[in-house]
Amino acid sequence: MVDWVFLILTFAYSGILCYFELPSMINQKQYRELAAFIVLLTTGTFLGFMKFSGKTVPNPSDLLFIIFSPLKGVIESLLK
Amino acid sequence: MGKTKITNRQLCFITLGVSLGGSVLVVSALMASIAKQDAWLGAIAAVVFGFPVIWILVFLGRRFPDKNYIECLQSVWGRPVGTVMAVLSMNLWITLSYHISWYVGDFMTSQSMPETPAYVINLVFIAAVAVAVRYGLETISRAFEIFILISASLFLIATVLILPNAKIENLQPVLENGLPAVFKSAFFMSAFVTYPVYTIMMVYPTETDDLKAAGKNMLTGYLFSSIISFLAIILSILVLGWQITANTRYPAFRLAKEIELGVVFTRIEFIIFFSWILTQFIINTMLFYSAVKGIAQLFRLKDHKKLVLPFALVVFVLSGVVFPDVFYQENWIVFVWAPYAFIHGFVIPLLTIILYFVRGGKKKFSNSHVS
Repeated sequence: MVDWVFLILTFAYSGILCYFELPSMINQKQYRELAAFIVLLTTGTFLGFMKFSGKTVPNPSDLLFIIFSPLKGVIESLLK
Repeated sequence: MGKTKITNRQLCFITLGVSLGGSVLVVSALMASIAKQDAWLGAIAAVVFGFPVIWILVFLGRRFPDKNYIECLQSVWGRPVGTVMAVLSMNLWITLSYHISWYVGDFMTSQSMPETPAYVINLVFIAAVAVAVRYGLETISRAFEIFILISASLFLIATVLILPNAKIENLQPVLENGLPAVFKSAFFMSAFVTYPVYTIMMVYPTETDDLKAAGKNMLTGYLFSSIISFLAIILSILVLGWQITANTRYPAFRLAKEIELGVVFTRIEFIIFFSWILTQFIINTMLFYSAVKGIAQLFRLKDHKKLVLPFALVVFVLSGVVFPDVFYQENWIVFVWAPYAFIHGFVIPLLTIILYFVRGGKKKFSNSHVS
């Protein structure tokens, strides 16, 4: 139930943000800001859609686990 | 060139907040599980080791007075390698800004509001952080001055109230497990208290006024936060004993539950809770600020504030994804966070300072900051 609320909230949030932020950036010709804004907001909305519609979202912590797995032995020796 | 934005006193408090942030409630369990009753010695070792690390940052700031961390890395390492270094460092800020939100949500749901979904708490918390960053650095650093004072005084009240329950037998026998265990625990303590301090390199040389005094203030802030972390660890062991400390998720909070003031004042532990939420807010705001500022810097944007609100959405969604459960989180902070923070908070600044001297030191770089 809660997921549906958050799903709607995510889309509403990005819609409202676009409505208020985009015109001022286009008027002031801040195209770099515009590109970064759109990339971040698309990432956020996409992740929110994935998470709140019940799909599995790739977890950034897993990636770091894989990167640091060669050091696992060193850390284990520190724990004893 | 850039105008002064924060005073040295505020810089001291920001350092205190950033350094205290993640540690005070979480780290004592990990330390007690390694060094047993000697964890407090490990805390002292970590603090002493931390001063040279902070000094490296202070030194870099003095040599590059009008560059923030990202520009500093780019000018020492050269643009391509420096950019890679900067992206790596920024990745830690981004990662940590949703981790801290996860901690707040988890703490609330596991200790006080078990039926509320964690996302609702994260939503309120991240909304506050995003609004704070949107208001700008001057506003947040003035707010931190007040927050730190509230937080520190609440912590001191809790410390005084808990003292009657302390049992000195819990510390004995001293050094039963030998010095190596102490230094091993100090390594993990540093990962929480010392290494995250490099976050304020986005603020320190460029936004402060008096450079010499600013470095001193950073060290003072670090000293205060170390004292508080040390007190939290030694009191947990004195009152609870190391077995309970090692097996509790939030030992400092468990500790405050031991406070008894008759029947009139119950649930005194929520003063620790309140104090902790304030420090979490400070560190999360600084991480969020540094991450957004870093992204803006890297893509050469003029206005970083436009990115705050979309970035808040990413942080919000990931704050519920990042740790599926508690066991995952406990493994993560041991096996990933400790080396991860070590590399970014110690190895990269150290290599930067070595490279700075190898490439010619003051002579080569002194004319570069004019441009």
